[in-house]
Amino acid sequence: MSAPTEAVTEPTAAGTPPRRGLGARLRALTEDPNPILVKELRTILRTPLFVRFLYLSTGLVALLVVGIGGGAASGSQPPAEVGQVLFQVFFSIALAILCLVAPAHAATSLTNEREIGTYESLVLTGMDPARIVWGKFLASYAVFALVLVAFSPVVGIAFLFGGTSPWHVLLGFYGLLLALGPAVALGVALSARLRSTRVSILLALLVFVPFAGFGTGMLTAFGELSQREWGTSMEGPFWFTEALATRFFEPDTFLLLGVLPLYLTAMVVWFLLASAIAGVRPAAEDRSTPFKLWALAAVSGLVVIVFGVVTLFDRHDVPEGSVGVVAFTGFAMIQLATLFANEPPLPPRLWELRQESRGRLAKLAGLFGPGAAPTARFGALIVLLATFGPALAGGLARHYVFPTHDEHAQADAALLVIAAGYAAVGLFTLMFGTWLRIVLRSGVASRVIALSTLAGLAILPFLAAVLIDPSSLQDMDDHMPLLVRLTPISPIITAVLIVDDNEVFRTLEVLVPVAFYGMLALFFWTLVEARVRNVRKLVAEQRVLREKRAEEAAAMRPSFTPPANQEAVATLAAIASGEHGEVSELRSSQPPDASSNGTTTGESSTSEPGTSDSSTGSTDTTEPASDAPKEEPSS
Amino acid sequence: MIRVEGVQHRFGAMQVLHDVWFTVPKGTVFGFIGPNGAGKTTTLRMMATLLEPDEGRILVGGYDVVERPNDVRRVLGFMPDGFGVYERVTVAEYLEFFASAHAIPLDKRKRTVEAVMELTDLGPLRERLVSAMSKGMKQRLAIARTLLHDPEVLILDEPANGLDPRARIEMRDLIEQLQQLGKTIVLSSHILTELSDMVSAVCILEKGRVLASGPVDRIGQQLRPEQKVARAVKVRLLSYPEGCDAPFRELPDVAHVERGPDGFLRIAYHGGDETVAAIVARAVGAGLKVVRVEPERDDLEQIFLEVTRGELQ
Ligand SMILES: Nc1ncnc2c1ncn2[C@@H]1O[C@H](COP(=O)(O)OP(=O)(O)OP(=O)(O)O)[C@@H](O)[C@H]1O
Ligand SMILES: [Mg+2]
Repeated sequence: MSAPTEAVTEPTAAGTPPRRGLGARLRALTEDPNPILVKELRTILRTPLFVRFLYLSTGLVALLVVGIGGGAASGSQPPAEVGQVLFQVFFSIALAILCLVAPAHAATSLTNEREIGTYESLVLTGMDPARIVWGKFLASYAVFALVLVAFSPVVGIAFLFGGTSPWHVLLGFYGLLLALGPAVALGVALSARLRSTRVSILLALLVFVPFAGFGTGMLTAFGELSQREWGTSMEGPFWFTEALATRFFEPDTFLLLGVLPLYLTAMVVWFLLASAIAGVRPAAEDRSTPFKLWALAAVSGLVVIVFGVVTLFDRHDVPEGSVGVVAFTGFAMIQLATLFANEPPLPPRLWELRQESRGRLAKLAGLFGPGAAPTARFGALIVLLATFGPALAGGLARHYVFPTHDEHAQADAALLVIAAGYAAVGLFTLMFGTWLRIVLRSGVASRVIALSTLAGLAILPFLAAVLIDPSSLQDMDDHMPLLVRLTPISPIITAVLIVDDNEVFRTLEVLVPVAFYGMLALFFWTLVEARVRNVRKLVAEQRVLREKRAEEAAAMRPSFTPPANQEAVATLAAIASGEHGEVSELRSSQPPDASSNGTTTGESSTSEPGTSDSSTGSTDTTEPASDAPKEEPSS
Repeated sequence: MIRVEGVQHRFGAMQVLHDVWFTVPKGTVFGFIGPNGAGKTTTLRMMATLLEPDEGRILVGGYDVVERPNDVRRVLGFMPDGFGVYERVTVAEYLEFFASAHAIPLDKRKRTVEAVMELTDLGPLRERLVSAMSKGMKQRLAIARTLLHDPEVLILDEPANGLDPRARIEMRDLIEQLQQLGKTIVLSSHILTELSDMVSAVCILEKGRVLASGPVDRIGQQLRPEQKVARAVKVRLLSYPEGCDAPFRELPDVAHVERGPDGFLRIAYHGGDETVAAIVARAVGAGLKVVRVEPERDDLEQIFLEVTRGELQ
């Protein structure tokens, strides 16, 4: 018995809402907001603990600001400096509290539903996992935005001393709100993938706190650089408020403090939420497309940023600088390659079912859709984009900013070498990883093996070269040993040589690693495609076999065929309704004197007149149990 | 409405379900009965698309749960075992939340929630915080939640678990009402008496195997074929004078009269309600003081005890 076919095209009654125009969608945001967001906010505002937390933490911040700030700023300092110290202390403490509490709170968002047993009900409503995840994210985010609002009066203490402006304060809060994004998104992502709230909280803190500490350290160090370069005066992690307030429209400030943090934060949040959505989606659904959209955006952003950063370089630094920046993107490329090497051989079942009834464009997109082989193809595109894109952007920027530069040729050659070398290494990582994944059937194991293979390929050739000939590495400038040429980092060495020694002819040397890794990539790609085809055939055969077996088995059980059952149901329904009718009729027709007597036989008949509970006193069937035939399946 | 065909399931090395077959006809209240660990929850979760069978297939409303889970979710309301509720929202907010999650259009949402509260008698509690409700009320709320998208099939895992007799009767009435609305309802329990007055068909599961399944009376007949001929009523009298069973023996459709263990008359008869009416008329006519007449059916508990051969508990 197959499902009715008309149901395929029938619009889902309670499923996804029909497509609407932009205006209607915007209206829906206010009229019909995300139910999870609404529910979570309601819940938290009704939690006495939260209100207490607001009071207590605000008080604590005030005390700390006065205590630490007052201590740090001794009497001899001018008031403006004291004000700045208090400002830094306030925002640092607020940041610390957010970094400790926000990931922990967000880390409970979905595990908590699992633990109290509401998660499945939520999933069964058919609500889009993306909507669930966004609801949880926004709710947690809003809660901590509220916490920041509660903290905000404390910053007034700093104002008493001067030295800061409302702009600084606003930008400081902007910084906190930016930092809050990854904090909350990380918590949500972990809670989407873990079962236990405790583990989720612990992991969120273990990952985020060091990350935040490192980030803050980097930021503070940057501040010292800024004091030298841009002449800013503030010390501490929130120095950027001053820089942004005073020189927002300078291209370097705008790019480094305006665009770059926004891009990085947005990409981190987007990635974590895509990961959370994949965690909520069942395995039979498409989990990889959110990551693909993210990768496209991230790589495009990367290209733009590389272009921008190269334009900031000094005329003298530009060849090395542009090459250095592009060389740096290699890490991103390797990460992307392993990200897309983690798909099961076949596309998710439900996605494939839906794909069958889709248009030609969707079918074309399906060539890069979920499943190992299409994802490997998509990953290949991304790797090419992530290697040649920044190289092209860096080169163009250099030509654009310094059209008459005399070292363009070397720099262009170096970029080409890096892009081609990276692309080959990236493609190899991707295809090798994909192949491992479908052979080993484990994402983690295959990733570890792929990355350690890469590390081995980077180091072992050097060791081998030294072992073979201890002096072989001494004049790499003139002849690099063949083995060393095969390491994944040899393109960088070549590029550096080209730029440093002005040896454009060396460009061709990159052909060795490109050919080596390119061939390997091609080899594993063929293996992947072939294996996927095999698996598909096998699964189809198994499916046919299974259906045949099921039908045979069904035919052997006549008692389960529909007609017999419907008959049975009809008689049964008659009996069932008849019984109840009988009892009530009989009782109302009883003589009045009889009905006044106690009729409490079952415990429940007292509370429920009109129905009798015969089951409680029903062990009176005197017939002995016989070994009559049962409807037990004969196997 | 639901077909479970040769389903097997393994948790790790443990085979939890062995070749489970049964059918739930449309409009039935179906009891899914078995001792703890029999595999009831596992089977119900498969029906609800939360778990995939290792072997075999399950159709709900004609849709395969593995291949068309989204369609199955549309026609099905599932209340999990040990269901959870959000605590710090009111009843109305709770239902509105799920109505919104079900993407019920905004203009119909209020009406739907009202209708469901009406049906489940939660109207007076609409402003009550869920955390302040009793277990029985929460159970009611959990059932109300499953009704929001007007599913054809309701699957309730252990719905009577932990309810006092009164709450259980209220629930039985609710289920009866839902059945009258044409819904197919699957209830699971490990306690027979919880279900015996609600269900008309059952599947009895033990250690992952179906011991019996089908309409209650048919199973009963198969267990006791010699009894197939008659149905019986129990007649309780105020007092049982000597020879009080004689008048009934004279009735044409009465097959057998005997005294039950605690005194009542057990009268086996052929035919339908007319015979029962005749029996009552006869009793009154003979001056016997009738206190109560109740049907004796092929009792679920008896079936259960016989089928499981005392392997329970
Ligand atoms: N997630 C799981 N992992 C491993 N084993 C499980 C899991 N869920 C259930 N089991 C096992 O499967 C068997 C059947 O469990 P199931 O919950 O379906 O029984 P049940 O009939 O619902 O019992 P109860 O009346 O206690 O609810 C049990 O032995 C149980 O230990
Ligand atoms: Mg159970």
